[in-house]
Amino acid sequence: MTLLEIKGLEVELAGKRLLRDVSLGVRRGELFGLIGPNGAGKSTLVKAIAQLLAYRGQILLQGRALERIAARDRARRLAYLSQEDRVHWPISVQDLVALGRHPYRGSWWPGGGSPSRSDRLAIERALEATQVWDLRARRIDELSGGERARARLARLLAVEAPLLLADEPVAALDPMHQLRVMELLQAQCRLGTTLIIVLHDLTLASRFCHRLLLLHQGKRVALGPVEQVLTPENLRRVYGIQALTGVHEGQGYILPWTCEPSVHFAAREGASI
Amino acid sequence: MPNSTSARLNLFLLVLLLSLSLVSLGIGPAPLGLGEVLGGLLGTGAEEERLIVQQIRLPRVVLAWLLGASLGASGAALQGLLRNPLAEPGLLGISASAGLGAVLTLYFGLSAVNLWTLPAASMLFALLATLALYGLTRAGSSNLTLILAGVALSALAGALTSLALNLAPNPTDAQDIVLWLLGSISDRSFDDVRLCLPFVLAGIALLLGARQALEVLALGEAEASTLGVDLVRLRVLVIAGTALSVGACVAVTGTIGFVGLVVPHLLRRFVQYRPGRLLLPSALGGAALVLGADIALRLIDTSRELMLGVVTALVGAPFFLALVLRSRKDML
Repeated sequence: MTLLEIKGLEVELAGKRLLRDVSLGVRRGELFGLIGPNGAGKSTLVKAIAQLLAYRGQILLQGRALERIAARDRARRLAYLSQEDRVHWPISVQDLVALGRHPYRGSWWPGGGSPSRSDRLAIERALEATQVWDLRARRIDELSGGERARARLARLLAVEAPLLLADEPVAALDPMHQLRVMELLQAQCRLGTTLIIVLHDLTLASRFCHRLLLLHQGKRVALGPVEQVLTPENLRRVYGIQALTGVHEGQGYILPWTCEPSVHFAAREGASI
Repeated sequence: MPNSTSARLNLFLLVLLLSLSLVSLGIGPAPLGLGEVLGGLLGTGAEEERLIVQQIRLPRVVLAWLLGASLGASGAALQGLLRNPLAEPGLLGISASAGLGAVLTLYFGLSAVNLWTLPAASMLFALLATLALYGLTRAGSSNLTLILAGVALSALAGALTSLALNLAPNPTDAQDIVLWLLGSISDRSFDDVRLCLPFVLAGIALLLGARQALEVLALGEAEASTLGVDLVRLRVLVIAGTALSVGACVAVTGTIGFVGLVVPHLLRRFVQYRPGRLLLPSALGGAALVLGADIALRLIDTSRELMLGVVTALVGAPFFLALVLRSRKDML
């Protein structure tokens, strides 16, 4: 069943068209990957879904136009993790994760009171799922990069929204932490959550995502299962690379191997597409 | 639990503030004991004590509360909004702009037209300054941009105030203007308190209304927005709250700096660095600091009484310098 449907999405910023006629559907419980070279429009697409940018076209969540859903209600259905790996004050991990419960707190003065029982349980679940329970009293600025990524992820999970958006959640992590975060996200999907994530790493995308959307210069190049999207032709055309493909433990994977200088140049000039 | 430590901190600051208030009511040319102060305050003491405590010393104490609470709360709120620990109404030129508003109404004789012209001009100028700062620094700019914008704004307001001073037609006007530059809460009556009280209370209420949203803003504007924070409402609350409370105070007390910088900085660790939780303690702590500074300057034996703004600047400027040295790497 389709949870999120996007029809004819166009985004224009300062006279520049960042997305052109993008349409896609994301199914419930899917781990959906957005891939494409730098400047392809991946982050723009995620921000448009999160209602952070003005757009033309339709974005429907369970058949309802997202922009017509009231902000607080929307905040309970859709949670967003930005690319910016930064928390602006050195608050504790626990306090950070608790911010994910903001959409459920009363708006009346003086500050919505203390967290409810369901808030506390959601915070505990998120801390445990991301394995930062033992770090909960630590200050966010005292954590390593991998620990901070998991703490921010816990903040995202604490919202307990059916749809999660994450913009490059593993970009700055070492391989062990990349795998750890991806496995956490995979586990969330198995519990019924739908995830849309922006990824740069094609190997991780092929290893973990159910389906992929390949964007190039704001346009949809391919949409579908990994093997239909990460074809040698698409990789050459969009990324200007050749990749090794293989199957391990019954699962296909790809490994970027060499760049194709002539095609790469053409792609940069925008001539080959 | 953090909740109870925060409540304990507020209680401690409140007790400190009330104790300082009793001390402040007791000291002066005619020193009064605790019993005499309470007697004068409650109206059970001698007529003379009642007069001294209620008419002469109490307005000064109440003004110190209002001024300190305004500066502390708006400092903490601006720091939360701009996500920058160096934001402060004095340092950013908001107080100086409010002072300029007051000086201009004096200079052009508008203050005689209506009692409310002067505070209205102060608040208007504070609002314009806060809007200008916000406009200049909103796109996640660095400490450096913020401070430079503040320096520019302070310099402009200072230059225009000096110009008014320079061109002031007679010495009395010049003296009035100097008062706005130095800042003081001495020799004030309840008429002065009444002039700023409603605006200060309204302003602080607006600032406190931003508590929850400021907490979430620690995640940055994008994530806060997707968590249901209305960014426009948040900005209106903080900017209008600062303009009302600081503007109204400056109209009565002149410009007093650094309170909004020092107080949130000292208290932040006790609220686990949570920007929203910092607001109420900063208001109480600001009131206590201003009152403490006012007591100190009255106890220091100088031939002429020191001005409050001079004392807070003498303490605050080195503090600011130390803060800059510590965050130098971050700034450049």
